[in-house]
Amino acid sequence: METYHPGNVSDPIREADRLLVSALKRGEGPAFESLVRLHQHRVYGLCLRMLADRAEAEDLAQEVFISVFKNILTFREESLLSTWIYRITRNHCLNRLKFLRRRAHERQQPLEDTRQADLAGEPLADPVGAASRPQRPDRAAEGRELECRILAELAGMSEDHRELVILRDFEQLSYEEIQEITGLAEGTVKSRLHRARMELARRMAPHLKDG
Amino acid sequence: MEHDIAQLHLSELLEGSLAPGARAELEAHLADCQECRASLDLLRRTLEAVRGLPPVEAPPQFAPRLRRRAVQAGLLAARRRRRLGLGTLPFSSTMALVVVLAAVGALLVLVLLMQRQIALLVEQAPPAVVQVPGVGALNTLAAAAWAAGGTVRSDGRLVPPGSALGGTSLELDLELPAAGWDAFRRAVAAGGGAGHLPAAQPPAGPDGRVHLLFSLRPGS
Repeated sequence: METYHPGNVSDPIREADRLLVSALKRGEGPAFESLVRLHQHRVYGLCLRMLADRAEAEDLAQEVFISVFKNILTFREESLLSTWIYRITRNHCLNRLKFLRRRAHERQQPLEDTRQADLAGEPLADPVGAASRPQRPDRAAEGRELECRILAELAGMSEDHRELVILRDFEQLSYEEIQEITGLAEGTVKSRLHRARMELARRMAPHLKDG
Repeated sequence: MEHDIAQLHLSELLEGSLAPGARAELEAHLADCQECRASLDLLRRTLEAVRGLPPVEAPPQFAPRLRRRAVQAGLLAARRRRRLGLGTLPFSSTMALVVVLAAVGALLVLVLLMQRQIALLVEQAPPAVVQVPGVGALNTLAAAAWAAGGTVRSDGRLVPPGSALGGTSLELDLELPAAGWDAFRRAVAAGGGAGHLPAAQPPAGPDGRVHLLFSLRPGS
């Protein structure tokens, strides 16, 4: 089993983090560009998988970076910069989901229904932008369909379950990082993650090839 | 190991994080339990599918849009001023310096104009922001973009479909699926805004989408 402690993280990563954070705290413009270049895909990816909507995900990911930049002076460097950014992203996602649910309720339109329709429509929507990635054409269509299906099934799960599957199995974070991001105890993370995985597996069963 | 307990440890078995004793007990249970074997197989195939997905990439326009938003929020502009060391100067000195630099810049532009170099610069520049006469035109463009399956950002912020843009909206950033161009063009024409669009469909970006930028004409 892998073990993670902040002190175990390789020194070059910690050193790069420290330099970037120092530059951000000094308010250097190029540091902001570096921050975005280094973390944009992970932040956007987490937003996209939580919200299952490309436009909302981009908008929210931008808000995350603005928030990171505004609050960098409060970052105490007790965790990795990436873990802190994940925590901010996760909180923004939960707030945005709450807002979207309220908006959908006001319009009397279930949020999950909207997403399912977006994700399963014909031609198959491409919420993850998979179509623009270079791939072998035969694999591309199959992979894209599977990717959209997984995202659609994730969108139908509770936020508690969805976030743990995303953090552990999509982002491949350690349990310690997930605890830091969510504030959950280790046992809760493990048991809830297992239930979330089993739920996703049951939902995906009709779409997976036999092993 | 009891069946219910075995079901709870399937994830740990796949992650290789079970203690040797518990692992042996679970494996013994699996040898006799068809249901647990099926659950384990389904879980394994699901995790393989999830972990085999390619990483998600942010759209190509993400960083430029974010930069624009950060500048609008005053984050980058304020920090730039400090980086240049201007923050240590009194405000009046800074303003004087800005005026002198602006005058020098204007003089340079004048020289360029006189030498007819400006024509070459215009030719080489990327497609300009299209200026429209009023908020009504921005609303027409936004409605057409939503009808064509596109997204709308006003001054960097995502606008929910169906919203009306207010008088403070100065800049509109439209993103359309390439296949939605004809529907977009027809909807804009129906709203009387055909003159704001380029004659031909602009090329799609690497994300397969068409990007258009509009702003309010000064004084409108």
